[in-house]
Amino acid sequence: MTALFVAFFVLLAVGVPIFIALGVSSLVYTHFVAGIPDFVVLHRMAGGVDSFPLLAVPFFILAGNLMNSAGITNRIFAFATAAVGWLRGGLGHVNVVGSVIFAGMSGTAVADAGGLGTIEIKAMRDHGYPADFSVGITAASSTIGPIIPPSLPMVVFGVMANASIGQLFAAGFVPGLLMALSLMIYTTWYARRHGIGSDQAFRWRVLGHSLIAAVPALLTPAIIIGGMTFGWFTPTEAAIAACVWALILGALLYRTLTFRHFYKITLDTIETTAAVLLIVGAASLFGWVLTTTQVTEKFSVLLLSITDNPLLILLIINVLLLVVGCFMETIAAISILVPVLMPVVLKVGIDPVQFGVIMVLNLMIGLLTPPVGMVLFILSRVANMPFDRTVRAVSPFLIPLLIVLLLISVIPELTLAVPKYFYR
Amino acid sequence: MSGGNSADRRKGDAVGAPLIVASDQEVVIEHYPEDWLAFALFWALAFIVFLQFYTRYILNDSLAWTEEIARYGLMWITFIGGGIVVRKQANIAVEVLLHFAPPHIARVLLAVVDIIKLGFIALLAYFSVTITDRMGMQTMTVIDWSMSYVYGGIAFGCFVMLARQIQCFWRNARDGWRRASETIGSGVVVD
Repeated sequence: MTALFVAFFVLLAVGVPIFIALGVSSLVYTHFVAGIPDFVVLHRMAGGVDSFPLLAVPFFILAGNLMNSAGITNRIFAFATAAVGWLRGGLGHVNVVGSVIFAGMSGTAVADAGGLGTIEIKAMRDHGYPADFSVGITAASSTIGPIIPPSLPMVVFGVMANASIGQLFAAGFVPGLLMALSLMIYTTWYARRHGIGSDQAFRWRVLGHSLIAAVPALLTPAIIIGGMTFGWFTPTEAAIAACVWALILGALLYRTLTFRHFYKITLDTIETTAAVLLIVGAASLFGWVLTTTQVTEKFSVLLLSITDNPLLILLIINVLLLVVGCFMETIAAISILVPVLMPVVLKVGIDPVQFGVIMVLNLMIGLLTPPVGMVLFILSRVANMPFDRTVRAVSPFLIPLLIVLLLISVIPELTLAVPKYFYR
Repeated sequence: MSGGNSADRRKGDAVGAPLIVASDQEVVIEHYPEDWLAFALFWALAFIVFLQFYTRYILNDSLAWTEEIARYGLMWITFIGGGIVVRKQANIAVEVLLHFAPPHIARVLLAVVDIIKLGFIALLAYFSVTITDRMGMQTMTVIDWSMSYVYGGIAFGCFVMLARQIQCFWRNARDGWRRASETIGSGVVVD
């Protein structure tokens, strides 16, 4: 058994692709310990992907990619500028509001950082904002993406934990808005301290014009979120609907989408999908090994021997996740850790839906922490800023996000009230 | 406002496009057979899921086979797309050690990683043949087709992965993993 873990961690540390590290260590178990036919490894891997809800993964990735290329991001940005650009610390607020809107169409943080983030950082630089502040607020606000539905990590969490994806999506609403609020409070405080004013006077005419220009784009979150909360769409269907709408916008309305683009975007989507789902499949194989060898059982006994207070358990798990999030990609961390953590969580009576949001938000914070923080990598490239300076620029923004994480850990109603209302 | 808006868009796209769409404003497309296959499969899958939605809402009678076929399609996409990921050497990994190791050590590590990858993918390809063989008896739930078709597609994907991994291994071995060590951290980004 120890051999399995040693194998897994050594392989992972050396830099073997995660799905192969999971597969090889499971193979060690089936071959040397259990004496089960080895092809079970592939059978379980393929079986882990054999799930209808997982179909939402490729189509949400595709929707995000299409949105970014259809000139939609610019319209969102213009609308957000007209709406909150007049506040003190103008473009900082615009950045947050833009991310909230974009979060309603895309399920990942990097789509936000790489698409909208590029425009935002450029605009903030042109208006003379300090570079560190621009990068920090862009990074922090991009993590709202997977909290407000749709959300790729939550689809994977729902599949691994056998929780309702619709409820998880609904549960992300309030925490996502809380994140936005906390970041806007921080922005206001920062702007006061550094004497930053507003960027644009508020004018109804401008707001109206930008709203009309942005309506087709703004319809996307309405279609996705509205369709799911009123029960018209399953998450998978919502993803398809979003793709169809984005195609109509890109190909017919804005005419920014050429066939070459379309082909390239599809293949990028397939690449990302395959990379993610290979991990999900291998992790469900690994999870099966951990369950049959009773490792998960032992882990929950160990954790419960320390405390059986749900809050303390959540605190311990949060610390564990923050550490893992520093090193591992979000979806990989979710698919590997859910089988291990879920038994404990259920035993102390924490709602899986609340736990899902906590886990995703926690791992999102991991995107902003070194050594492996995807959003940091992307923004240091976009802003042309050295990596260590990017790390320092982003670090103060961890505080508002950590406060929100603490709040949703302590107060279950913040996550559970909305799904309870819609899914009685 | 609208004038500034369109100017913004052009500038925004020029900067924004590279990260999401392509490495250049001019979209460069490379042609590989597995890409075409994956592209066709992906849109067939999209069509089937759309069909399910359509039959359920408009015709009030969901076609039972759509859900099952869509699930199998996703399995195929995963493994055939896996071939594309392997070809681009873009598998998601924990790359901390590779990042911080001195170049000559990173190259040794990369060589070890490539050998493990090659070994495991070869085993997967071998298992896929065994499974496809054994699944000949079983049929799908809704349609009376052999499960061998499903696992045949997966086996095909495994062999594409194997072929691409052999290619990458050969190319990397010839330059002593020099180029591979320069592109650490250029894998797929999902989060």
